Amino acid sequence: MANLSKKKKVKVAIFHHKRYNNDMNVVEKDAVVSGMLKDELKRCEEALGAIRKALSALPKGSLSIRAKLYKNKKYEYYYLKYREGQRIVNQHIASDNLGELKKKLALRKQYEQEVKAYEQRIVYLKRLLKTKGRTRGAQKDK
Amino acid sequence: MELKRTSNIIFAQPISGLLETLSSVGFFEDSMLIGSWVMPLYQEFFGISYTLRTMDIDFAIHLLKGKKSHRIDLEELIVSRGFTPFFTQLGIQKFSREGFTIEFIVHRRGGRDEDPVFVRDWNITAIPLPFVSIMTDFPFMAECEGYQIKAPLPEAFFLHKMITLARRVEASKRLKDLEQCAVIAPRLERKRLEEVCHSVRLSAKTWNAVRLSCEAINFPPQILGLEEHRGGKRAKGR
Repeated sequence: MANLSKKKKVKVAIFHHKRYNNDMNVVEKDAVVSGMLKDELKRCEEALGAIRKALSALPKGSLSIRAKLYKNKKYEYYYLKYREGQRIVNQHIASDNLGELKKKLALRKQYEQEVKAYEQRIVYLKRLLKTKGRTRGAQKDK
Repeated sequence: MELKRTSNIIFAQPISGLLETLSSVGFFEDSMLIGSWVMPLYQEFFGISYTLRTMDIDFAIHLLKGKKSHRIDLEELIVSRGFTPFFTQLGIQKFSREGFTIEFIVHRRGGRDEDPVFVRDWNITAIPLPFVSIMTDFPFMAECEGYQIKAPLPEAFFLHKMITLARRVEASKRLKDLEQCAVIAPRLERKRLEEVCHSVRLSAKTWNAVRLSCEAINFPPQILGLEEHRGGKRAKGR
C-alpha cells in the first residue's frame, strides 16, 4: 500500500493547481472547489425556493390584543394584524385557533430567518463564482 | 463492530448538538452518518485528511423488517434543535439551519428510480439510493464528546464512492468523489477492503465502472479483485 501512495501522487496532481494557472483565483483554477461552490449554490437556490414555497402557505402578520370592558368585566380579543397592499387588516382570531396560529407565526419567523440566511449565502457564492480577469496578489508565472 | 474513542472535539455546533440528540434516541443503533461529514471522523481515527465539506449532512437509515421498538418522531426532535423542515419539489424532506441541510437516505433495491420513502419508525421521509447498504453493512462506532456516532468504515465508503462516482452526471461531483477516493486509498486496510468487495454482488458493468475509477486515481484494481485491462471482467475465483 505504501507504494500506492507514491504512484498516486502523479495522477492526483491533475486535481490541483498548476503554475500556469497562477493568474486565476482558486475558484477558477481548482475544478473541485469551483464544482463544490456551484453545487452549493444550486443547493441553496433549491432550498430557498422550497422554503419560500412553505413560507407562502403560512399566515403573515402579528398578533394583537384588544381589551374591552363590559359590565365591569375585562374581555380580551385577539387579532391578526397584517398588511394587504395599502391597507392594514385586523382579522379576529377565535380563541380555539389561537394556539395553532401562534405556532404557525413562530414557524414563519423561523422560515424567514432561513430565507435571509440563504439569500446572503447565495449572494456570497455568486460573488465567489464570478470570474475575474486578474485577482489581487496574483503573480506572473516566471 | 469497531469502537473508536477520542476526547477531542470533532464537530462544531450545530452539528455536534444534532449528532448528540440523534445518538441519545438510539438513532445510530441501526443508522449512520454518511457523506462528506464522515471526513472529520476519518481524520481523527484513520488519519485521512480531507478538508472540503459540503453544507448538507446525510444520514443513511438501515431499514429493519418487523422492527417496531423505536417509533421516535425524528422530525419533531430535529425541529426542537432549531432546524426548519421543508420539502423540495421532488418531495424530499430536508431540515435547514444556518445554511446546513439534513437529509435521510435509505438503500434502494433494483435499478429504477423510486419516490421518497416514508420511514414510519422515525417519522421522516428518506431518499432511496442504490448501494447504500455497502456502507450500512460495514460500520464502525465512534465515541466523541460523550456520545456515540456510527459511520461507514473507510473501505466501505471508498467502494461506495468508486461505484457511484461513475454514475455521477455532473463532472465536478465526479471529480470531488475521485479526489476523496484518492485521499482515502493509501489508508485502506487491504484485508477489510477485500471483505467489503467479497460481500457485494455487482454487475459486470458496475465492476467495469469501478475499474475505470481505479485507473483514474492510479489504484490497482487487483486489490478489489479486478483485472486491469480486460473489459471489466472479474478476476478468477470471484
